[in-house]
Amino acid sequence: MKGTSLGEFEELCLLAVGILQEDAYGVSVKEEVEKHTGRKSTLSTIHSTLIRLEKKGFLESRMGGATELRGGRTKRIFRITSLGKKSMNEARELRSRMWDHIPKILWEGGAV
Amino acid sequence: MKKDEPPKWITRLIEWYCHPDYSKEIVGDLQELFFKWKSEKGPLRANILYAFNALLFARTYNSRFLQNSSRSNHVMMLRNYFFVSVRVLMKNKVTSAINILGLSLGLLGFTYIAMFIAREQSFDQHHQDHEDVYRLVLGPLDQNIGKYAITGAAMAPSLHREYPGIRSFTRFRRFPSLVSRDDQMFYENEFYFTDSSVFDVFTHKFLEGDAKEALKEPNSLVITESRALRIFGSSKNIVGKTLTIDNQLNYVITGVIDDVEDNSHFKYHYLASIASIPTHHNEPLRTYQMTSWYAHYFYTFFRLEKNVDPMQLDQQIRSAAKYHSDPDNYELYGTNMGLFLQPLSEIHLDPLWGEIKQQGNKDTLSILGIIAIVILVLGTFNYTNLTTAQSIKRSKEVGLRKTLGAAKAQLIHQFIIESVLITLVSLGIAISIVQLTIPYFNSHFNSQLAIWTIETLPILVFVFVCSLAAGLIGGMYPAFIISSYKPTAIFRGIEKSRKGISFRKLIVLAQFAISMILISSTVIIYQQVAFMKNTELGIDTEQIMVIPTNGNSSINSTFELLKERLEQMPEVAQATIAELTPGDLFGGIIARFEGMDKNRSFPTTGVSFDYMKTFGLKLLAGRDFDVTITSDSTERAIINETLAKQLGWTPDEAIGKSYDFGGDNVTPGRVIGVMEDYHFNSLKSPIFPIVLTIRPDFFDKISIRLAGGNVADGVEKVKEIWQGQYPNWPFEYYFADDHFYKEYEAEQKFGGLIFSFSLMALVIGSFGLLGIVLIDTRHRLKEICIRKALGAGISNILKVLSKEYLKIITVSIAISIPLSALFARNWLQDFAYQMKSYTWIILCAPFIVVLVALVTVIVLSVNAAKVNPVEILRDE
Repeated sequence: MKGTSLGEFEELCLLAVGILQEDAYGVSVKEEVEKHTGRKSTLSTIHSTLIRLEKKGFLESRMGGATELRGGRTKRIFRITSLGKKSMNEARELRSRMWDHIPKILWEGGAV
Repeated sequence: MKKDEPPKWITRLIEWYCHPDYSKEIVGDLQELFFKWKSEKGPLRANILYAFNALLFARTYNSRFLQNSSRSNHVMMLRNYFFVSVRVLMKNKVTSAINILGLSLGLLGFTYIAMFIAREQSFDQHHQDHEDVYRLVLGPLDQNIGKYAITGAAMAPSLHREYPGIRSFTRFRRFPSLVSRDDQMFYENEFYFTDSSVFDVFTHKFLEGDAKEALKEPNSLVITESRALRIFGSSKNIVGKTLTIDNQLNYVITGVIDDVEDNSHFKYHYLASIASIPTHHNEPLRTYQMTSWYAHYFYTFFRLEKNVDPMQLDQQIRSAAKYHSDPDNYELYGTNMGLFLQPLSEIHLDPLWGEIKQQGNKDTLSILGIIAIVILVLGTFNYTNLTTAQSIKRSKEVGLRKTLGAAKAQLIHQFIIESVLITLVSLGIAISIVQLTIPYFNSHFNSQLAIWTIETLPILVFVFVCSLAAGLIGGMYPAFIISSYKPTAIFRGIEKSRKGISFRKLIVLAQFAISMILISSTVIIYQQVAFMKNTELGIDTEQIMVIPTNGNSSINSTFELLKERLEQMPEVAQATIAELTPGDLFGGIIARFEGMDKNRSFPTTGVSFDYMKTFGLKLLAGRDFDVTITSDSTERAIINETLAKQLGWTPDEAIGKSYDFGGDNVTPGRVIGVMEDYHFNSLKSPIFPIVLTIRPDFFDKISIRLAGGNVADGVEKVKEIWQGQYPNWPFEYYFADDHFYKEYEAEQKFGGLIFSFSLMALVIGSFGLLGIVLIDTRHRLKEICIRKALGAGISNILKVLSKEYLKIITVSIAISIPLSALFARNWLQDFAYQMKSYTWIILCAPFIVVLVALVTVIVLSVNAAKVNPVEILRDE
């Protein structure tokens, strides 16, 4: 069975889709992720991640937005589902909960 | 817009292997990125990135095959075989690399040769109904074979009249001319006079004008698209415009045709109507050349009716020449020539005397064909050999599979799939290398090969099928050997099966022998070419520049002035004008010398004064032509030693003998000198009799011997003088020695091809040896270590390890020497002058292979011998 937890890269892709709203498709997600992380990623990686997220139910997609530049081919435009939103929130909360558990002194004192 | 798009075939590839649900968006996305890359990084890198990213999409999750396939057991097994094969390949990196490299090289050579042969065989077949087109050729009746490509102008019309079945004919008279319009001037070598029916025989697309009418009128001209572009900068609205020929004739353009295909046995750029000849300024052209059965200046082609048996017609016209001339004339011509038909498509590979350009060679093709097969077999053998040798390693896998219920057939399938996979990977590599190297191949061998065209599609399919077959056959033997192991024997540890060893030895032996033969053949070809180039010709071609007069008929009357001006300069030693320069083809002229009762044709060339001085020819007896003696200008001849001998004279006896030019008792002459023999043509043909006479109406080449070291300077000075005297005639020249050495181009090309392929064979062979030695020493590691433990030194172990290979090498030398000798003898037969001795080449060349082999064996053996026995024997 496919897990319902979010991997790091999956989370980045979900966030990018969230930022892009109505314009989230392969190339734009790739650029968004690269912009924020500064890491290069290949289109096929992005594509397979988005498809995987769709299979997990975190994203839904529709076809649209053919342009001349694309040789008249349509885009697959992604949108976050409510399940996706929920799991993003969970991931965020998990992080902040864990942040809270780091002892303040240790952190701010820079002893590490 | 079209050109900006990413490579089509990659797009098609993605669409093919990606799941149809996703392919559209993937291609769209990639295309978007492609344009971005292109603007940022340039088209080359964009193309590479596009291809690379496209490849990354070949993941299983969106592949159409795996998603759609029914998950039957067969499919699952196939998948399993595939994965196991990939794992095995990755595990044995060195042997896999050897296998793949060897096979890639083999397939590379094979693909190139297949393309080359197919190209050579495709000549002249783009014309509609080319199988009905024949060339009229001449040949001696007693030999019953066509030998000469050039025929008389009068033949075609009478044959067309007298024999039914000839649908149309066309004649070509090559006549290099100066073409000019306004201030543009071009010497055009591909200028022909031809019949109006030419477009019924040869298919052409008319960009402008009408095929039927174009060449009917005098002074009409059809030009090719490329020439139209060159002169007018466009191929439209050209019909009706006028071009000036030789600064004195005005021809009207009546048609523009597409360019002649590269794979044609001759090319034309200008076709002038044959009806223009009667008003042409060249006298021989408009008189006897146009009317004679015996003056041979034309190429004649027939298109036959569909219902005609060409063989029968060929027989019928055989002796037509006899009926068309009065008996005296026929006797006078004296050579008893017959007419023959040669199929158009055979011309390129079966060229005759007098072809316009260098044609192909059937023997070369068959030798290359054999080499192609040999190289492919060598590469395949490597695979068979290495896999068999490695089989012991895989025996445990086989044992396990068998225990778990695998049938023998299934195991065979697995190994064959493995070998086919390797072959396909190699084929991919080979084709990529072809793609990358094809421009270099083409420029080096002066060919026009291309891979991604419709014409080469069948070749690619053929290569694909051949490589699949090679993979199947190469995998068969190891498959049967490995799958026949008994599990019980394997697991009990009786694994040292020595099966297949003798077969393997045989393969290595064959590889060595073939490499040796190819290498000595290469050396022999190169040596023969070098020998021909270095032989003293007896005629000095160095520092001689030749200026063709190209229809400039004013030269004959003004040459003396030019000569005077040229010879005043310190840069010029001598200047002369003549019909031919070294390397040109001789024409025969009828003549009779004293004591002969019949006329005969003698190779004769028209020269002027100082010809002998310019070309450094030496006199054995008599004197050179003298400008102060008037009779020298028409009635005197200088002959060479060979001719004197043929006539039964010593050089001194020959002087003063009578000589009848034309054999018609009209121009009685005398022999005034005998020259030392010299090679006027390449050393492929023997020295033939030569007659020199002063014949101004034949002159069309000025030869200038430059003095001093600075040739470029001399050329510049000559150019100045030329332009001063003939401002309307562009200055074009070549060097006599370059022209002469062109005769060896075919041999050099052939040598280069054989060299490349023998190098390939050698590399494949050494790869094979490398693999075998590698595996062998690994198997014998324990033996080596025990020997070492018992006190054997490195040299001792080396001896043990290389003994077997030394035997193989010795036997292959013994096999290769007689075969190389056979090749050398057959190939050299075509040359009248052969290099002195080639025994040393045949004896020494194999040692290049031996050297490579020994280095391989010794390096690997020393490595093995250096192993610390403790590490290997610890497990025992």
